[in-house]
Amino acid sequence: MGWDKGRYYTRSKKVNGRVVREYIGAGEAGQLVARIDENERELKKAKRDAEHARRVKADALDASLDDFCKLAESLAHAALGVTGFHQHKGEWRKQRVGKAKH
Amino acid sequence: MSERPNTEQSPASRDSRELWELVRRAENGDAKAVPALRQLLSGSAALAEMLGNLAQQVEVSLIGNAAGKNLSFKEGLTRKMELLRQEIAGPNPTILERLLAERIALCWLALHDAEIRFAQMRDLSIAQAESWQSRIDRAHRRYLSSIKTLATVRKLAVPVLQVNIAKKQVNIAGGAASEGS
Repeated sequence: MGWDKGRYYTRSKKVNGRVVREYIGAGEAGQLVARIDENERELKKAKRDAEHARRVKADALDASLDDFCKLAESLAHAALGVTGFHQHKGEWRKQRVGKAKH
Repeated sequence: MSERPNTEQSPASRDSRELWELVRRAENGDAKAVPALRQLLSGSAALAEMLGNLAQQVEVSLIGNAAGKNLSFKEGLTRKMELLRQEIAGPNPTILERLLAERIALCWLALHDAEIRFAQMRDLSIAQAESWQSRIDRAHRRYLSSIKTLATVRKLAVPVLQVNIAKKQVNIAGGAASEGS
């Protein structure tokens, strides 16, 4: 998008893989369309920025919840280990008394 | 546990780091960490307070994010979380059960917040929709895993009374009885 030779407002778009320039117009009409396009671009950028900010915030919340979950999970595993259980193929089993002595 | 020279950290985060180290040492088979951990898990008020503070920090952030500026929604959500925690933890919970109940409640909130946000979104690109969908999937896995851990802890902590009558073994657990030869 831009001004060709400083007179004609143009838009560029891809058609079948080739860049095609569309001539919109000159003078006041060209300036009006250019302003509308500019507004649309700003609106899209604002939406993108808002979505990015929302994602960053959600990532930070997820990370703090993940940390808490990891701590809780590790504590639960440690508690089960301390009370004589061990994990065998994902399943918790009571440690055999005889085996624990060796 | 030794004192760290780092003065920038809050006492709660310093305590949680020390707890992490203790848990890691015990998981890696360090026998010296076990007595300290056993003592902590047996009912330390400091541990309960620290874990409660950590959970509260996460909860405040999650509720703040979900409710935004809507104070009545924020109040309702806080109350709902309190009731949910109490319901899951049940009467006279241990420190661990309380912690795991808090984890379930937080995971529930995170999952529902993600689902509601996704449902309310408009004009999403395919990549953005996929990104939110994978976030929901992660939250769902985290929620199910939190429930599974509490169920395991409760199941294994149930005192099993074993009575051998002649050659018949009767297992009585939590009021239910099963027979096997």
